[in-house]
Amino acid sequence: MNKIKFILNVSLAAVMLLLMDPRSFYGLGFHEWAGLIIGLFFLLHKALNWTWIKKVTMGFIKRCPRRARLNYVLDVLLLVGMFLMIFSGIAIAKTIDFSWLNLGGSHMFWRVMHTSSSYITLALFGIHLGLHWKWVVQRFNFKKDKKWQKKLAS
Amino acid sequence: MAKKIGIIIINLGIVIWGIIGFNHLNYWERSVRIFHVNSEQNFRPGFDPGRSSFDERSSRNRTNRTKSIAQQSADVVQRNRESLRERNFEDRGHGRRGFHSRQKIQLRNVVWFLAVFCLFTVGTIYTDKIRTFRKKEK
Repeated sequence: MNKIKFILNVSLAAVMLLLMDPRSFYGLGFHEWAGLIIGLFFLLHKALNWTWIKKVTMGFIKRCPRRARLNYVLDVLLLVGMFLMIFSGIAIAKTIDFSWLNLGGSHMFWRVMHTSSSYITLALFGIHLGLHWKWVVQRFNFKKDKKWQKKLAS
Repeated sequence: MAKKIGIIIINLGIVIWGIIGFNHLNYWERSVRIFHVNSEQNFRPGFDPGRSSFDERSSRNRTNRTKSIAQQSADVVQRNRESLRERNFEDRGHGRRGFHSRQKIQLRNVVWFLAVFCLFTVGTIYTDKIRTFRKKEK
């Protein structure tokens, strides 16, 4: 399970970075489709950590340690950031037709919203990774431990 | 010890790289831009948010009176040419092309974003370490 989580997280970070510049990878088409798909992957990331979310939500005020609370607030901010990013992206989409949604507001407003929310969300992603760095290091140690166990067994 | 020094040097490099990327992308300015706009703002060139629509209209009428139509259209053509030339120059300078004409994969800006991402990650890791260290001391 941890391996799946790790691969998902690494690919999420990599795709997020590629999406930061719409001209960089395979152009706007890739940017818009991958932007929509990353939203689904983000939800999958949340679903994989559902036990933790449930636990912290239940005891947010009284029982939770400060660090878990900080992580929770950061996760909520990330969720809001992702929502704004995808929603504003839908409003300014060019290769996918979302005109039937009639979102209103000026094009420039949504554009600025899209840029700002993505910049803020990327920063929050960095902080999120920093706070979970021990988990990342543990994933590498886990591999080492397995090799060590195999050596011991042989 | 040598390993620790190596890690510190790498992290310092990441921080410097991140700060350069942060400035290069105008990260702060672009991040807080959303807090300075409202949903109906149109971002016309020369648009002054403090000016009322009446003032704007009256000033436009005044300009219309002073300039002849021919003069105005000549100005517009000239402005368009200049902006097009500037855009072409900029595109060539940065190696950019339009969205649809892109054939090469260019990751130059992505590298700057990676730098900023790493800056935030490293910053958080060390802030967390300092916080834990202080907690242990207490």
